[in-house]
Amino acid sequence: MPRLLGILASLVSGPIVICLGMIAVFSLLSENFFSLSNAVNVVRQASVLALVAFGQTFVILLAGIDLSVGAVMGLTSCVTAALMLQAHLAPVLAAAVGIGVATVCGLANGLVHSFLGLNPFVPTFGMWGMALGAALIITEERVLTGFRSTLRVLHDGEFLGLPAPLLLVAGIFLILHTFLKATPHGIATYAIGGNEGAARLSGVRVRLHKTLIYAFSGFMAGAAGVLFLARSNAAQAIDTIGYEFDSIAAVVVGGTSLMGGKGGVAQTLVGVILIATLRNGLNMVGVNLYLQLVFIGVVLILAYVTENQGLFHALRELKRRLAGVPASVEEA
Amino acid sequence: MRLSARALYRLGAVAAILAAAWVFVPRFGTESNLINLLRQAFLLALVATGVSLSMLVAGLDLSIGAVAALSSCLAATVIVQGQVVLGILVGLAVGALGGLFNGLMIAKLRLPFFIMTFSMMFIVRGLALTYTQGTSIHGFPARFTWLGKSFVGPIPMPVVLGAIVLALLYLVLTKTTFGRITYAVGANAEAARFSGLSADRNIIQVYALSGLLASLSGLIYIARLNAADADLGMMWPLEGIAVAVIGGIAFSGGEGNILGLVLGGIVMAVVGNCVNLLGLPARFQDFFIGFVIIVAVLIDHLTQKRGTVAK
Repeated sequence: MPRLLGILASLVSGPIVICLGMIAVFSLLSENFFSLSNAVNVVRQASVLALVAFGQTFVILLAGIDLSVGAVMGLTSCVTAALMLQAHLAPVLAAAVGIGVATVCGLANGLVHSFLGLNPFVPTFGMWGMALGAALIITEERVLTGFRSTLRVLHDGEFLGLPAPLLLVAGIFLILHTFLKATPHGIATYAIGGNEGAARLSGVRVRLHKTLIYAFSGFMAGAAGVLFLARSNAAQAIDTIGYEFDSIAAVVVGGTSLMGGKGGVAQTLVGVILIATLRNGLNMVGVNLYLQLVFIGVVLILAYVTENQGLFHALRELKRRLAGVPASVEEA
Repeated sequence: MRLSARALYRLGAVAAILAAAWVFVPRFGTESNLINLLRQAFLLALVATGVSLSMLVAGLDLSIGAVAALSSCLAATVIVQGQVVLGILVGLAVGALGGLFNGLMIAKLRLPFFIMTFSMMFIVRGLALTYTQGTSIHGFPARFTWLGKSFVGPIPMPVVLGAIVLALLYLVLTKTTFGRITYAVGANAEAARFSGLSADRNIIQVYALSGLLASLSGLIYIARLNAADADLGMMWPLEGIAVAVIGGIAFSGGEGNILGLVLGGIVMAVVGNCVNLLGLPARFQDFFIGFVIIVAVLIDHLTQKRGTVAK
């Protein structure tokens, strides 16, 4: 019972409060927002981001970063589409190859970062360029379309009345959450992010572990790329550019620390829902695309501040600092 | 100025790249191509100045492209009416204010630089797009396009301006208290604080300067293009990081010579230029640039390791 209360208390975090607040505001402003069909819409829109953000969560838990995911998603969807179109491969097989390519990209990131010791920004950003370039080269900068749309079932399908992407994301979430919280490898991920040296001394094979996590991030980007292809039914190299930033934003807004060792996929799920709800709500209310960017930026900052410092605490602290009073001890 | 062993490595590598391009790429060595290359290299180096300053204090300014877009669009409205000087001042002021806001939030509210400048990228880009409604502003007087299009002898004006800015920044970073504090804060902000240095004030100044430099780059770009629109500088954060990293500015902060940006700019410009000259479609650029970034930093990293061991 105390455990249940603890879980309930932990649910009332900044991002969740912001999310509920947004839902309330959007429901007042648009009569179509608060409906089952729109909720299903939000879930479908959020599913691609959820997959790639889950992978990013693992990397950020290591105090790393994966800038390549947006381009790798694009590469996956282009490879998959090209294999279906030009090699007439079965969709499942084509998707498997696409995800395999993405995993290799992630593995390369991990190897260069862990074994050669480069800041993860560099190999993953370099991979961003190479994957984007490769996708542009494969597609010759065109939109690939006109293949059999068997994959669409991943995005449009329903099972027991529930949308397929919801089931997919829920299933993967449960697996990853359990993995992080209840297996030695999951706990090692937190340990490395918290204190890499200590993790090494405790017998964690840090470099191997890190490499595998970057490969996993590539794998998840691949899965997201396939789901993206299933949604749009067309592949273009640059369509998924931007997901690298969206995924980082979802992870951080949810409350996973960029310093590593704190957070998890549950937090990321909240971050993903927050961003998807915001985008959907702004659309429903009729805010134009340009102003949407402004809102998203403001909400990102607000979500971070409320999650990590508490809005009112932060405002008090700001006032104190501006008045020249020294910062409190724990922040000094 | 003494050159460290690593700076010499870097100079040697860039010389080797240039020599290889000269030998293997047809028409690379023609005068008009070299002038183009130089112009592109210095424009890239200018774009990278803001990113580099924020990297020196162990941060990162992802908002430079958006800040450049908003400030140059606002400036453009004034400039097309013939008020060139006023327009430039408006642009620079908007850039500095945007950067100042970043710095205040990062230093005073303790927001992580990534969250702040990343959010700022959305906010400022959104404002720029809202302001222009997606249209472009063009038709500047020649007194303004002079900044981007004219030549001093055979040297394009952006090269001259870029060289002046980089030289000034070099002097500021190496010869002034502000510069010394910047390196100290980047190397270890806590130690700098305990030594009585005002780390917060320095961080605010650095981000404000980054915004100012972003708007300056934006102004030179729109002068060259003779048009301003809200899409300006979409790729600048990433291009800037690439130039800075190749130029030897360390991600971990507190290390790097701002003049290295010229080398970073040259490498990036050569890659783009060679892809063009070899008749490869532009799509090959991204691939090679990604590859070059990893290899360049890797070589740098490995030589650095050797250096440390030798000590």
